[in-house]
Amino acid sequence: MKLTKFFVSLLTTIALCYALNRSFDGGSRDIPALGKLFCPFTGFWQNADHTDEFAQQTHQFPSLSAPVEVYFDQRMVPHIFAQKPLDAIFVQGFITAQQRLFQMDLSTRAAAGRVSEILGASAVPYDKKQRRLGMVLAAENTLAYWQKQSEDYPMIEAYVNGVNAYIKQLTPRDYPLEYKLLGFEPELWTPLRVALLMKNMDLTLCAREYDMEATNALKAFGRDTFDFLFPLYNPQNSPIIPAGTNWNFDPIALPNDSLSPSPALYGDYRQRLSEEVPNSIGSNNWAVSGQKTASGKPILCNDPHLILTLPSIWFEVQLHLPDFNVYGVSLPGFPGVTIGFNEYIAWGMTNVGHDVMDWYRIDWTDESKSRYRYEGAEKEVEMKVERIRIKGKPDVLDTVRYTIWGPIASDNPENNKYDLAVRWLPHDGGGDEARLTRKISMARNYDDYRDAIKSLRTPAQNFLFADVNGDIGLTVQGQLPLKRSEQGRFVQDGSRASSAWAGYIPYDQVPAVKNPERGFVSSANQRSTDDSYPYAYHGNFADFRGRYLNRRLESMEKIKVEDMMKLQNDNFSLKAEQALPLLLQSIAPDGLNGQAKELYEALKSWDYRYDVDSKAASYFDIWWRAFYKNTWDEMEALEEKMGVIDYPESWRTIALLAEDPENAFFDDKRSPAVETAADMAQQTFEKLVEKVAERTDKGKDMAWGNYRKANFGSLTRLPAFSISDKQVPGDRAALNANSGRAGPSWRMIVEMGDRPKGYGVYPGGQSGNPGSRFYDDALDHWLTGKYYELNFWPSPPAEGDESVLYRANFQN
Amino acid sequence: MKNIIGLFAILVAGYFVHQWLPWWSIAIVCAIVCAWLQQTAWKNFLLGFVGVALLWGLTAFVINQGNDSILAARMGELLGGLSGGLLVGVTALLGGLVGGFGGMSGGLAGQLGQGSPEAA
Repeated sequence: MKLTKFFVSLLTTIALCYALNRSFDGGSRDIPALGKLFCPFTGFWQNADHTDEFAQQTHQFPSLSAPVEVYFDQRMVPHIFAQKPLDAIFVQGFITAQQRLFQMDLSTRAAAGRVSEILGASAVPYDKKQRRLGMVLAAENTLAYWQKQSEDYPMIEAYVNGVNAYIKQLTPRDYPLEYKLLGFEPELWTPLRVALLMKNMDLTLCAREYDMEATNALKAFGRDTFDFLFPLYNPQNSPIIPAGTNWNFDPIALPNDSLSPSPALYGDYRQRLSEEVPNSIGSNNWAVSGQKTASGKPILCNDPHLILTLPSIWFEVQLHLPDFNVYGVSLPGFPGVTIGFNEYIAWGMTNVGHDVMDWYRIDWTDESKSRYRYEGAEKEVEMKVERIRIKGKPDVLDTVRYTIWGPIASDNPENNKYDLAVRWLPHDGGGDEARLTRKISMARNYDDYRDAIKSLRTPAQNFLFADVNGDIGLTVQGQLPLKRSEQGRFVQDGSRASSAWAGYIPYDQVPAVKNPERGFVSSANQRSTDDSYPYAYHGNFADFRGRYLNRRLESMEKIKVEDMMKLQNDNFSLKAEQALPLLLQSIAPDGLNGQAKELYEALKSWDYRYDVDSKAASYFDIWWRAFYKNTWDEMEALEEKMGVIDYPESWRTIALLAEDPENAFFDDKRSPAVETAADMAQQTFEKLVEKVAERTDKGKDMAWGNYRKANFGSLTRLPAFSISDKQVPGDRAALNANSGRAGPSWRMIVEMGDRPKGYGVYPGGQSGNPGSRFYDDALDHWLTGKYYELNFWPSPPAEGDESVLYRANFQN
Repeated sequence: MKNIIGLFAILVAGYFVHQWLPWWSIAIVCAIVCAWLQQTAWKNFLLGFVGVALLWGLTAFVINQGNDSILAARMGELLGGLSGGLLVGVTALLGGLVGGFGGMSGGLAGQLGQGSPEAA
């Protein structure tokens, strides 16, 4: 009896412990081991950081050449004081991993197509896409280039060593919360991970193209209508390099023929390769010269618009060394400062839209897709077998075929006649981001800046500059392929060697401007130049922000930092200013009553600002979307049939509305009557009235901030770690380019003077830990358009300085 | 008196064991303490339960106070809408169950080959 009792009790204990020590398949998400998770000595409670007690840290690493002192300020920004650059970078790796290890891990795992290892089978399609795009190959090529060519490769190694020094001293109780929830362990960091991070940025910034969409549109409409719908230039464009700039160089001669596709190249092209990148990814930057400022010294501003996640994509840091001192934001996983300023200069970046991802049609000569036609002969593909490991499931194998152009990244298993190979610039490797980072951090003038940015190949950036001497400048920097007219705008012939890019625009011929007469340089992702630039290019360019920005900067005088803050937070939409009066003129106000009249009046008196309390902003948003959708109903029908198709840009739609309101595209083909733009505007206005009535009947507020809520999604995609339903002003056509998911990921303003003075804010906080008060402590500041004065310390703070939260001492 | 000594032993030994050994080692701590104390099965269960519930609950409580419930609020939402305070309670309950069954098993093991404590 006693024995039975004992065994029952023992078995219960063991079963309980066993059950609490393993995870369970919970459908979409695994349920983690609850005993492990709840035990307050090892589980999630260990990640609940004390909100105002911070232990001084002391570490010892013999690999350091001298001691390094780190001071964390009240926002937990580390200020690293070191004697040698590599020591500073080692400590930066350590500190960044301490705050952001999971983010670093996940972003580079995602780049490599290894998410299934931690999330299970649901991530296999994502992983396959990454493998087919050759992300690892691109990272390997980049790493090989660094190892062979870069004097600054030791910087990568020092950073990796710093990250690993942090990982090695972790015990399971110290793991970031996400590891505990997902039940995996951090693995040691590698230089390949650093390269993968760079390729991840490339994927975000220079993988937007519309080759298949454009080819399908050309096939559907023919040349004349295609050109009518999709002109390359907006005549109202305000280019980055001021129009009328002289190009003082002899351009490389290219064959004159256009590479527009013949109908033989049309096909069934329907597979989009990468995840849709939200349109609101983009950025603004500008610098005004002393002639336009109150202080007589330049002011430089930058706000890169990226997906707004928690933790944020950026991590603030100061690196102080005997011969240079630099402050700014870094990408967790890469050494140094990416956007920032030092004692002499400041720099910033926005994305360049030149198309560096082209598709080549590959005609197979055998059923098994192992050979393809090339220059009148047959060429063999290289097969690479990708092994995708999956949590709790057997591995999946996927064969990726490589052609001379690149991997077959769009294939149709039903069709063994042809597929598409992708030629993507980042596959080449070739950029020396470590050198760029070191040189720009140490730059003291315009020439140093120009020398530093030579190392940037991808992603091409509008690289902005200002210094304490009073110089300002901007270079459209990157590896820009030499293309013939329309080359790479459509799917190209992969059987001809002549379809290849002819080379790259030489460094001294890329568009650049220094101290222009107008007293400012600026960019907002619009076209780099007017059409006098000798090289043909096309790509993904924005319109409205750049035009509005230049208009504002032209009119501003005696500029102060506060004016620049207001401009970065400007919610004015040029798109609305152009489109709304055209729409309104079709509405006869006399015939309106009740709510329709109210909406009309609200729109009529709207100042085109997407403020959170503006109802008119919501009305215009609804109206324009409906108008655009109904106007291009032809596209929607074709999209259903062809899979993907290009849609005309907003500026083109507005131009048609203004200049050609009776164009057949405005006619709704489903109705017997023949509609004009005015009919379309009236019909969609009625829809607006209905939609607003529907929402207000449900008691929903129409103010922009409540109509379009913003989400700051956790990288884990767990709603509990995300912040949602926030009121956020702005619109993607406004300088304050918030789309709800993407927006100004770092607002920085640097005023030049005897010493630069920096202001900045990003939506989130320095810690990646959802259990820290620094996880989202800057969010409200950011939401309300406020800035922090950045602590750009010239020397270590004194003992007892109140701006220091805690210290970390790294001994050698 | 026995219970107070037992409780103290579980708190101190448990605290140290948790610094190095897997979380479930706490069950073994309770088992050893209860085997040594020689009480009835239910008293042992109660002792293990209270001991670990106190150890886990208090630790979680102190951490949660210092953290202003920031993490507890997020974890509570993740686990289906528990409040921060309730999460401390769940922590105590889970620990208590493990400690209780561990203690009871240890006590019963101690009695194998001996008379029951009541008879003694």
